[in-house]
This record gives sequence, C-alpha cells and structure tokens, in this order.
Amino acid sequence: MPIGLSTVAVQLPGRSEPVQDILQRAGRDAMERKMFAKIHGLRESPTLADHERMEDLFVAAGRAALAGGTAGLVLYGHTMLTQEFGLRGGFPDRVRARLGLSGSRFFGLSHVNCTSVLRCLDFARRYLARHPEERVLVLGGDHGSVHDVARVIPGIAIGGDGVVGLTATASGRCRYRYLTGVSTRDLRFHRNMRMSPREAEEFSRVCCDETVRSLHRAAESAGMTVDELDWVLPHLSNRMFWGSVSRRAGIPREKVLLDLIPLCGHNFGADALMALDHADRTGRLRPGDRCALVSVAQGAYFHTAIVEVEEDS
Amino acid sequence: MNREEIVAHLRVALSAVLNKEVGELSPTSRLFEDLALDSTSVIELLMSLEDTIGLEIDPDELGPEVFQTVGSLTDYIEHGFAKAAV
Repeated sequence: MPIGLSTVAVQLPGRSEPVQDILQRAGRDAMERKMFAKIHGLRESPTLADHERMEDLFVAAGRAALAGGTAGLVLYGHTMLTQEFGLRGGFPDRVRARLGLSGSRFFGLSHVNCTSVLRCLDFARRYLARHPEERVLVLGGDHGSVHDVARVIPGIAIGGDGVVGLTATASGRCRYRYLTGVSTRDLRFHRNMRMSPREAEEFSRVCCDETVRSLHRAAESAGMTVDELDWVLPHLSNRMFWGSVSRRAGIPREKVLLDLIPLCGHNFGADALMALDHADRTGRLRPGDRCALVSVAQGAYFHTAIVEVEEDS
Repeated sequence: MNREEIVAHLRVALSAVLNKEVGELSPTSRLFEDLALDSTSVIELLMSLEDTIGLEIDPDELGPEVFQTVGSLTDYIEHGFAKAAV
C-alpha cells in the first residue's frame, strides 16, 4: 500500500564545525585529514553550540512536519545508542508534551544503525495499513557531537547533529508517494566499530556492491528499473563511495545528489531525507520524478526507499 | 610520463607507505592480497604521488576497481596524466 509523505523538515544547529578541527581533536593523523578533505569532500559538520539542545531541534522539526496537525504515532529513528538527551531520561515524554502529542504512542527504532530513519517509513506504512485514519510523525537524527571520538568513523565519515521530521498518511494530499522500501543486511560485519582492520577492509569492499544490489531490488519492487530512476538521494557519508556506486550501477553521476556533502556532510540516518529536502528546495524535483533514498549502515545494513514526487501543493 | 616511469614512482611510493623496500612490481600484483595495502593506504599512496610527481587525483573516478592490482592503479594514474595534458 503506497502511503503519502509530507515535505521534510530539516533542522540544523546554528553553527557547523570544520571537519579538520574535529579530526585533529580525535587524534587522526595528517594523511587521514587530507583524505577527508580531498577525497571524501567533507568540510563542515553541523555541531550544537553550548547553549543549544538536540531535543529542541527534534521539537522544531516535529512542529514543522506536523504543520499544526496531530499524529497518533511518533517513530524516532536513530543510530547512536547513547545520547545526552537520552541519558537525561524522559525524552519521549518531553517531546510528546512539547508537540501536543501527549496521548500518542512514541517508539524509538535503533540497532539497525543509519538505516533506522528510512526503516521508520516502512513501519509507518505497516501501521497506516491498520490505522488508515491516523497520521505518523517520523523523526530522525543523532547527537553526533556528543563525543568527538564517537562521531568519527575512521577513514569513512564524520557524523553531525542534523535532524529531520516528516509525516506519513494513508490518504489525502502529500508531497511524495512512498512506493516501496527494501532492507538487506550482512551480519559478517556485526562488530561494527570494533571490526578488525581486515573486517573493515572487507566491509568497505562489500558496501558498494550491496548498495547497488539494494538499488536494483528496490527499483524492481517498485515495478521499474534503476535506469528509470530520476534521482538518487544518498547517504552522505563521502563522495568517493558514491562515485563507485554510480559507475557500478550505471547511474549517471548527475542523478546522484551530493551537494550537501561539503556543506553539512553526514548526519547519520537523516542523510537521504536531507538530500530529498535539498533537491526539492533547489527546484530539481518535478511531479512524477521517482527518487531512490538510500542508507548504508555499519553492521552492515542497507535500505533503499523509492518515492514519487506528487504535484506541487 | 610513460607506464614504466609511473610504475617506478609507484614502487618508491609503495616502499614509503609500507615502510619497507618493495622489489619489482608486476602489473598483476594485487594491492591488498599481495602487497598488504588497505584502501586507506592506497589513497595515501596516491596523495603522496600528488606531492612527488604532480598527479592530480580525481576523487570521482576513484573506486574499488582502481585498487585491484598494480596494473589497474597504473591505468588510473596514466589516465590522470592524460586528462591533465588535455
């Protein structure tokens, strides 16, 4: 059952921090720092200022997505398991109260790392199949800057504090039609950040092929081929990875939207939805365009969702 | 720069990255399995060649297929020089 999605509300902290500074603090050597800038194209990472709180970003994204309406279910997709606002306890209750959703149910979705936010869309679809009269609020993002060491994925990416929110409905006007979502996993890499150098090397080799397979499977599930995709809205980990995926999948490079990589880099599971918002704001999307939203996660997990752009509201 | 010269520079750069003397290189030598490099060290190798022989890395053309063998890496470098000459 296709469901409708609202536009994506993106919330970023008031400042961003140079990736080079973060790497230096995390003790990464000069060669790796050069690699992040030159090869990966990562320059800035959204970072909360001392006076800012992650919880406020979630509430702002939720309010914008709800647009004065309500939701019977809130799904929050996140990668990191330990975040400052979570440690304080009561995060779901505070967010619900501030959004006027105290009577709604709230669930976190985790342990599938950066695929968690797109996976929420699939859970929203399942929920709406049973409760078509309701609306689901999806929130996603992580407090990357909670710890410099934790936000650096060595040799691959740096995580920032960006947040997204959007709503899903079974009927009525929407900005995007969610056609399908396909998940795969390869649990050889379950040790995640504790992988040995050999495992990490194998993971980086498998990632590209599995991402391409995920794109093909999702396109097939939506009754189309990869050639018919108008856009790929990627996990914004790094530029080199997507060059490989583009060549391997035969998708023209200009269809893979990487504009945000130097500007705000990787923001965990929020990436693909941030890229969707960026594509829309910059006037690239046309009604009928079909977009693949792709997330790739340590662990290893892969998820591709296909959405179709509806008429402008 | 011809292929032989590129391979000679590669050998010097490899010795520096691996911190040991590397002997003659065959085009079929595999970077990971035979030379014990990993993807990060291959990128380090290329970046060091930027400094020493003026190679300009095009990140959009870098990928696992470049990192297969000495031959595929040489192809990438040769292509980089050819592009720069246009």
